Formats: sequence, structure tokens, C-alpha cells
Amino acid sequence: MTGVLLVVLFVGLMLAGVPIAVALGLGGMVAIGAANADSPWWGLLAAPQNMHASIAKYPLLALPMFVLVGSIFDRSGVARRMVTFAEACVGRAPGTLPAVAILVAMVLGGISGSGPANAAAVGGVMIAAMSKAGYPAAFSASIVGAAAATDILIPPSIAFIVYSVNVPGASVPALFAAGMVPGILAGVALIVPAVLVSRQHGFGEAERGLPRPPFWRSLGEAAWGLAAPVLILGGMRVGWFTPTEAAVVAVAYGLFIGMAVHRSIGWRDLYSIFREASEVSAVIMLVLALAGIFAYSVNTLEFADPLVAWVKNLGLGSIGTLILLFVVMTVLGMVLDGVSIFLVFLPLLYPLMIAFNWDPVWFGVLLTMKIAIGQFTPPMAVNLMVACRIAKVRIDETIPGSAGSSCRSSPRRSSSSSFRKSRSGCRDTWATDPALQGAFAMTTRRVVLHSLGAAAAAALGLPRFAYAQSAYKAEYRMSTVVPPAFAWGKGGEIFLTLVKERTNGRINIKQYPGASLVQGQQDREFSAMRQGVIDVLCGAPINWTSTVPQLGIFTLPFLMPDHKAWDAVMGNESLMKDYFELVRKAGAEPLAVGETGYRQISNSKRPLIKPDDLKGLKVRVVGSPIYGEIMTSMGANPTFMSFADAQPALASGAIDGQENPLEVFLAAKIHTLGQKYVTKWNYSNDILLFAIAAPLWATWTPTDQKIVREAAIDAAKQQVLLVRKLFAEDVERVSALGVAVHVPTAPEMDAWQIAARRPYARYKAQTEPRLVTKVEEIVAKTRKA
Amino acid sequence: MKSRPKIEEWIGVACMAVLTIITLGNVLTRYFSDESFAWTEEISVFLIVVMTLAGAAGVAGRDGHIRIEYFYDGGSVARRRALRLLAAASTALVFVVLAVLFGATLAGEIRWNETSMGLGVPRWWFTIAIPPLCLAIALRAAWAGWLAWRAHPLPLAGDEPSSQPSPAGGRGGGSGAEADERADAPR
Repeated sequence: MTGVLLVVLFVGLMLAGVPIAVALGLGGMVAIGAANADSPWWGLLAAPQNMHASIAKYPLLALPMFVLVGSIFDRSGVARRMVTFAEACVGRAPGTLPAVAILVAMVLGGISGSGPANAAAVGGVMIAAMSKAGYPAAFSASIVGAAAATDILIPPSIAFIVYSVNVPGASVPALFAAGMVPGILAGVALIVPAVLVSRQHGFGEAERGLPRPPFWRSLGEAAWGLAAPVLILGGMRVGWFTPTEAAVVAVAYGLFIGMAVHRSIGWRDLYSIFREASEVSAVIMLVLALAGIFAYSVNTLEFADPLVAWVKNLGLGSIGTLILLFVVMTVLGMVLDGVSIFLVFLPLLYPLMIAFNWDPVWFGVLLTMKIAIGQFTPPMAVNLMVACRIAKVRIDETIPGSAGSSCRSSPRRSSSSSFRKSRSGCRDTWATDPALQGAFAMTTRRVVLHSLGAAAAAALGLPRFAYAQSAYKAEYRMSTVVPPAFAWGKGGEIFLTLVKERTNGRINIKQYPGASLVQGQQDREFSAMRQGVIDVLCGAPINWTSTVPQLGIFTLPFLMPDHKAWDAVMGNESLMKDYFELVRKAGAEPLAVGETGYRQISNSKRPLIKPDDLKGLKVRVVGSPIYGEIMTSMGANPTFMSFADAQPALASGAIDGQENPLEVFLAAKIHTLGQKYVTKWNYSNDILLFAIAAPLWATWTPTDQKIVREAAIDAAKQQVLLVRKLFAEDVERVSALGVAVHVPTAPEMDAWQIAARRPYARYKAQTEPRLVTKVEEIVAKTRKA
Repeated sequence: MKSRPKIEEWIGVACMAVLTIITLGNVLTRYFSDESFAWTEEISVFLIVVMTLAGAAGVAGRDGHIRIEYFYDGGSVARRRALRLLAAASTALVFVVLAVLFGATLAGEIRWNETSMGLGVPRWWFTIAIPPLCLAIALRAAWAGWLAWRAHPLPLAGDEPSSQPSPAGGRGGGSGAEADERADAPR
């Protein structure tokens, strides 16, 4: 019922003209409050947590930067000169500028991987030029919004990388290769109707009568501007900069052209340029921020499991279900951005994919296409919004245009993919799909009816939940950083299965992989648990060292150099008793300890034999100052980012290396991100801590507490066995992928240890020196034996 | 309403400018010295959040956030007026509640001595900026709602005279004179 409330409230507020960000936030918060009436603060502390996490992301910086590039190029006089040059090349005819805009968006899509930023970049340059050439602003906005949507299909695409992490069997290169052709075809499928529509309606006709500008002179004038994309694209391709950095270089370059070359920007204009860019970015990012709250409530409302069962029982068969999913995905794409959709809905889609035996790569590309269409279909089309902001038109004015282009492009999209994969089943989709897409060519009024219909369908389809026991919650939320495809996530899965079995369903724990309860910001897990957002932790204390530094004692570099030492430490009862006491003080009831696996370093540049080899490498480390300090002490540049953010950064070459257990390296297919050299230096093996939020633990009966604790201990045992098995075979498996694995000799290990001595001492003092000394003693004993 | 720049506008511009300088500085130092300041990322992320909220407050003051305008700008004056009130009230409500919730988060961070991931400084140094900015959005939205309630003729949504880049000049960054200009804006 809460789900219906959420959908109805959100749709209702949105239609009433409440700002979309506010409708998302209010709908989300009311639903969270209704579902968690018995929790402290009604569970609403999840709202600030998720809102902040949705925009506090470094890769998102590309968005305001590209908006700024747009604002600058808008006034630098470059746009006019480029248009002049384009006119000199192709003549002054209707339909040429939209084609140019789409091509530029596709090329940019090959670099950025972020649809809205692409829309901002292309829109900032092209919409002004198109409006000068006489195209209606709404048409220009639709073109740019639709063109930028090809971005998530054309590699490198963040959406594909997120999909690959969550779906075993879909590798990044396979997805990239599979997305390329449909992406290009989608672009072509946009150009054709754009040109035809322009011709038909005589858009851009105003310029036809004017003389064609001289070729060489216009080339000379446009050269400064034409060099900009070369600088951005080339710089990123060669690996000089990340998209964000490329944007800022373009800012500097644009200001140089505007202020020094074309002299169209004065010092006094800077304030209004920056103000415009900051406000345009703010409008978009506020939606992203509050969509985080909405996504959280959808994620936790128990939509998933009954819905999967319901869909399977519909009896639509493989093709029918696929069509249904396409409709749903397109609608979702209108409301959420692609990465959020994957994060939120893959738990729902993955079981369906298994049930119908769909190829994961093929399915991933199809889903991404649907999301791409959703991104420029009103009412909540992210890309279109950006374009509309720039074009200064209202989003509903674009409905005929953009819905029209989604109609026209979809048959080609679907047919291209079915052709590529030559699966007969898919061909049926293109027959039905345009009709479904065509639904959006209607007026807003009818879109409304459809949304309400969908809400009603959801209401009928969801079984009612019985809350028989008032003291126990119907569902407890467990956060893991990775899904059960990894030993870590598997440990969590084993735990919740055991608990459910042994308590006869009294305690029902649900796993949220990808740290999705905190928008993937794994370092926020522990504080989210304190706020009642997360109930059960199954994670590495290394991720929580900013919240509770003393829990990170086991992560000191080279503290427990092998499994023998590790086992001795974990088997020491008095030490573990002290450690568990620390966990209790921090606000959680510790249950059991598994292992996350020895972390090994990899990079794309060179073999790492001695500490000096790390010099100058930009290495992603997990959220802990200690790993950062280790890297700094060896001359590397540490970068702190979440797992989800790290992958596109590695793929684009923005960072050179990362450190993770080799099991993660294999399961996440990190070798596909350009990582060529691995050093198996066993520098840290953090524990996997199973823990329950203390206030919750107190609500359970002693019998259940005992059952849960034993389940955790058994799960941890199984998890450790799994990790060990993978550890034993990892060098062989990684080498088989063509990655050079270096296993350091004893003297080399000593050199690494010496290099890490300074941060070791510092960090030891900062955590719990008493306990660390104890660990050192236990380890020393195993050395002697 | 005077046409002098509002405080949140200055904050937004300052954040954008600092973000640009930091990022550019990072590119240059890395290019020339093969080093980079990874620690600046935490500051950049903080500035993104502040810029979002500050910019959102400025836009809320002009009732310029993204919305579906189909019903908002259609129908009778009474209906449009009611919808304006609803929008302003919802916005103010959401952000007052968020300010309180961020306040609670802030209190927790101080109580538990949480530190930031990259720099290791107390986390509340960053969080403390958020509740006032949320309140600023709520206040600006409420103020815009009040003005719309009283205005004759009723302004339309989505018209943002002050953020329109006017190539002819028209700087001064003013946010004023919305109501009159908006009323004249073409549908």
C-alpha cells in the first residue's frame, strides 16, 4: 500500500506543478515515513543520507563543468563562427544543423558516458546556433536531448559498467562492443527524421536566402572553436584528462578565446556566466539529489520479490515479458537516470533474466536502449531537461518533438539489435514496440492516465503484507558492498538464508548489494546503521574507518602477512573479545568475523617490484586514510572513491591503479579496465564483520539472538572457506587473462614493509595501539613456530 | 525586491569559481609535475553540494525549478493561484523537514566524532553548511509563493528573466523585476 501511496503522491504532485525535485522528495519521504512508522524518526534519517550521497560524487563534477563550458562557449562567439563554417561547408539548408548537433553528441558520447553532461555540452553550443538559424527552441531542445541519450549506449558508458558489476556473465568489453553499433544506428536513426522534419516544416529556412559565406575565411575564423573538440576529445582519448578535467580545460580555453581572441567576453561578464552555470547546474542536481530519496524508498518498499513472482506467473512467456519490461523500463527511464535504474531494479530483473534464459549482454544492451529512450521522453527526461534549461523552453512544449523522435528511433533500435543478435524472438518486439512508444506521442493528459493506470496495476498486483508480529519488523535491511557473485556478498546471502530457515521466517533479512541503501557510498554504511537506515552490516571495517577509526586495526599494512597469522589472530579469544567490545561501544552488536581476502595492487602502467615503482601512479583506494597514507608514503597519489565510481575512472585512464582482493579483480573483471600488472603483496586482509544495529538487537528474544549469532558464525565459516579456495587459485586465473602477476620474494617484501613503516606507526597510534600490539605479539609467535 | 545580487547567488558563483580553479590547478600540476592533489576531491565534492543548494535557493526565489507546467499555467486564475500556493508550500515543507533531518545528522556526527574520508577532518565542518542552505531554499520558495499570491496579473512559471543571457548587456546580475517581465512573457 505504501508503494501505491508513493506513486500516487509523486504523480499527483508532479502534475499539480510542484517542482519535480520537490515531488520526488516529498513522495519519497512520505513513503519512508509510512513504511517505518515504528522506527526512530520514522526512518527519515535515510533522506538526508541518500540526498547527500546522490550528489556528493566526484565524477558528477563533470556536470557543472560542462554546463559552464556551455555558458562560456555560448558567449565566446565561437558558436556563430562554427555555424558560419558549417554553412560554408554544406550550404544554408534546413536540417543541417540538427544533423551536426546529433553527430557532435555522438562523438562526445564516445568520451563522457554521462547523458546530462553531454546534453549540457552539446546544448550549450548548438542550441544557441540553432535558434540563430531559425529552429524553434523546443525542436532544438528535443534534438539535443535525444542525441545525448545515445551517450549511454556508446562506450565508455557508466551504465554498462554498473550493469556489468551487478550481473555475472556480462563483461565490460562485451557490453561496450555490443552497445557501439546500436548506439551509432540510434544516432543515424535520429539524423534522418531530424533532417526530414526540418525540411518539411522549413525550420532554418530563414537563412536560405542569405549568401553562402566564403570557405577559407570562415574556416580561419572557426579554427579556434573547432580546435576545442579536438582538445577535449583528443585529450581524453590520449588519457591526458578525465571528462571533468577536459571540461575545465575547455573552460580555460573558452575563456581565452572569448576574452583574448574574439573579445566577446569582458571581465564584467564573468559573474553572470558563472551565475548562470551555477544555477542551471543546481536545478539539475537538485533533481538528482531528491531523486536519491525517491530511489531509496522504491528500493526498500518491497516492490521486488512479489513483483518478480507476479510477473513470472503472468504467463506472458519470454517475449511477452520482454515487451512488458520494455514498457516499464521506458517509463522508469523517464523518471530516473540510467545508473540509478540499474542499481535499483537489477535485483528485480536478474531473477527474470535467469528464469527466461536471456543472454545477459543482449539483455543489458536492450535495457540500456529503453532507458536511453526514457531519458528524452517527457515528463522527467533528464537529458531533455538539461536541453530545455539551455533552450529556455518549457519541457511540455517539446512533447510532440521528442516523443516523435522516440517513435522514429525505436523501431531502428530494436531491429538493429535483433539483427545483430539474430534472435528470432526479438524481431517481434519491433512490431509492437513502436506502438508502445507511440503512446508517448499523446498529450500530457493521456500520459497522466497511463501513469495512473500503471499505479493501479501495481496496487492490484502487489499482495498485501501481514504485519502479525508488532515487535519484529517485517524485513531487516542488510547492506553489502558487492552482490552475491563475490565471496563477500555470498557470505551475506548465506547468513540471511540460515537466519530465515532457523527462525522459521520470524527474522527476515533482505540484502541490498552495491551499498544501495546509501547510494553506493560504502563509507557511510556505519553511520547509516546508527541512524536506523541499515539494520544489519556485513562489511569490511576498512570502509568505516572515517566513522569508527578504531575498528580498522586489522587493516594495518603487512600486519598479518599470511593466513596462518590471520587465523591465529582471529582464533585468539581474548583479543576478539576486546575487539567486539569496541564494536559494541560504536553502537552495533558484533556476531561473527569472516574475511574479505588479501588485497593486491594492480595498475595499467608497469610491474611493481619495489616501492619506487609506485611513484606518480594515481591509485584508487578504499575509504580509509590509512591506505591513502601508505600510497602517499610510496610516492603514489591516492584517490578515494567508491567501487562504482572507480570503474569508469579506471576505464578512462583517469586513475592508473587500484587495490582489491584478486577474487574481486576476477569477479569484477577489472582486467578489462586496462589493468595489466598485479603484485601479490598480501598487504592487508580485512575482516568481514557481521553485526546488527544495537537498538534492534535488543528487540529480539534471547532464543532468536542465539540463533542469529550461530547463523552468522556458520555463514562466516563458509565464507572464509570460499575466500581461501579462490585465493589458492587466483594467480593462475589472473595470469590466464593475460595479466602479469608478480609474487614478491622475501627481500622484496621487506622493502615494501619498510616503505609502509611510517604510516603504520602513525595509524597504529590513531586506532587502538593496545590491541594492535596484541595482534603483533600473536603474529610474532606464528613466525617463530 | 531590489536588483542587487542575493547572498546565495554569490555563494553559488564563488563555489563554481573555486571548483574551476581547483580542477584546473589539478590538471596543470599533474601535467607539469606528474603529481596531483587527490585531497582536493573532498573539497570539490563539498562545493558541489553547497553550489547545488545555494543555486537552488536562488532559483526557488524566482519559482524557476523544473516542473510540468501544463496545469500550472493553464486554467482559471483561482486554480493557478492555488497551485502556486501548493508548490510553494510543498517546497517549503520539504526543505524545512530536510533542514531538521540534516540537523539531526549533524548532531550525530558531532556526537560520534565522525571524520571525513579523505582529509580526516571532523565531518560536521562540512555538514554544518547544509541546514541553513535548506532553510534558505524553504524561505525563498515561501517568499516567491507569497509574491505570486499577491501578484496581478499572475506570473507564469519557467520564465526566468534574470538568468536569461542578454547579449545586449543587462548585467548587474539582478534578480528583480521578475513579476512584471514574466507577466509579459509570451505563452
